Amino acid sequence: MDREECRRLRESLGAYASGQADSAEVRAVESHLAGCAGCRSALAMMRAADGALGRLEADVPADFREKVFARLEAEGLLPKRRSLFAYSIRWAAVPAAVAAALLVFVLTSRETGVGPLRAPQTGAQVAERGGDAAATREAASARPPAGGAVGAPATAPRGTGGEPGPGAARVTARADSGGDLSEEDREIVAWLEVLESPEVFDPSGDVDGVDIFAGPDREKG
Amino acid sequence: MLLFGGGSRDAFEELFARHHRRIVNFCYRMIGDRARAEEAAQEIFLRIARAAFTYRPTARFTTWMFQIARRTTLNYLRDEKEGGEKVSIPVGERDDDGSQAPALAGPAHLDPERIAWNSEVRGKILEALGEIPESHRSALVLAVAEGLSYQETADVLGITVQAVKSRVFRAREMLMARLGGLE
Repeated sequence: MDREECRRLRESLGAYASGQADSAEVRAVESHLAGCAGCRSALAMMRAADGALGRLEADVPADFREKVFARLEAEGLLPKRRSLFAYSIRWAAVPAAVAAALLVFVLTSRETGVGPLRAPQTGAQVAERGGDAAATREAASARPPAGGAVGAPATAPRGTGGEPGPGAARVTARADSGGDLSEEDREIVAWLEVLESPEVFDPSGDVDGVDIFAGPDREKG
Repeated sequence: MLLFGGGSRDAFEELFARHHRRIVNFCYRMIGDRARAEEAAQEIFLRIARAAFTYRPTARFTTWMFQIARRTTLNYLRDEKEGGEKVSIPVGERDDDGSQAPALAGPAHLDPERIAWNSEVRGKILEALGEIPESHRSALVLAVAEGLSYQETADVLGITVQAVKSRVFRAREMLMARLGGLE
């Protein structure tokens, strides 16, 4: 055994024990180990010490994460989590803005008398359900007492003269029954109630002008 | 880490999940006391979060992380020391004149599998580790227990690879010398 060689290779032996020796060191150490029992014993002790060190582990406390994140929150070091809701709001912003603009346009155009689509369409929807657009317009044109919008159709229809069409009675009956009108219908009727100048939806007084919005079973008055 | 620096909480959650056990174990091996090791580990994550904006991808994250960890544990150890390093390197093992063979003392076969691993044995090993100078202990813990390469250990400690080899060897010598009698 060459003690000089043992001394010279001792640090390489340590690197070899750690698996960190380069190829030249590996060759030199393995060649030496073949003929040196002392270094083989030293290598065994190194590996044993490494094993003992590796087993020296701490159990992570169950509340360790909670404590760390609480401190991070307290110092304002933790970025806020980006939720799906935040992303959906961002992506919905554009169509939402468009929808809002359209709504404003529709509402303001209604007030100025522009936009024939809404009331007639609304009236037609009710007519479809009630089966009589004329009766619906009569309901719309009449000034219903508070809380009883469709009670009004019982009165004579504006501009048409004569008795209320059967549709009016039908609408009245259906409204009074309560159970036959859907929630949407009720909303439409409620909108009709607030129309103070229903003639704007029929400026020419020509019933036929809105026929295209009438339901198939609309009866001409 | 770059994601966290840019404000992603999920990125930090991922970092924490990957590395918290290593950090806790590193602190335990360096400090030797569970409670103080936990305190140090918490402090390390806070420092990581505070320093997130200084992280640059030119360094491996684990290198940067262990640099913070080592400085933090060093501060804890300095706080408890009365002054100077705890144990100086024994004179007989310091010479380089070639007249001595590797001075590895201790039992011929210290086999962890043969030792009843209990709190007493664990305590003795921790005590032995604690008596090794921090400069050598940190090299041993990083390169051996944490499995860092000698190069990365050198980067963490700011020394050369050759210096890492030397420190690891001497640390092992001291550990084995103090573990004599454990069988």
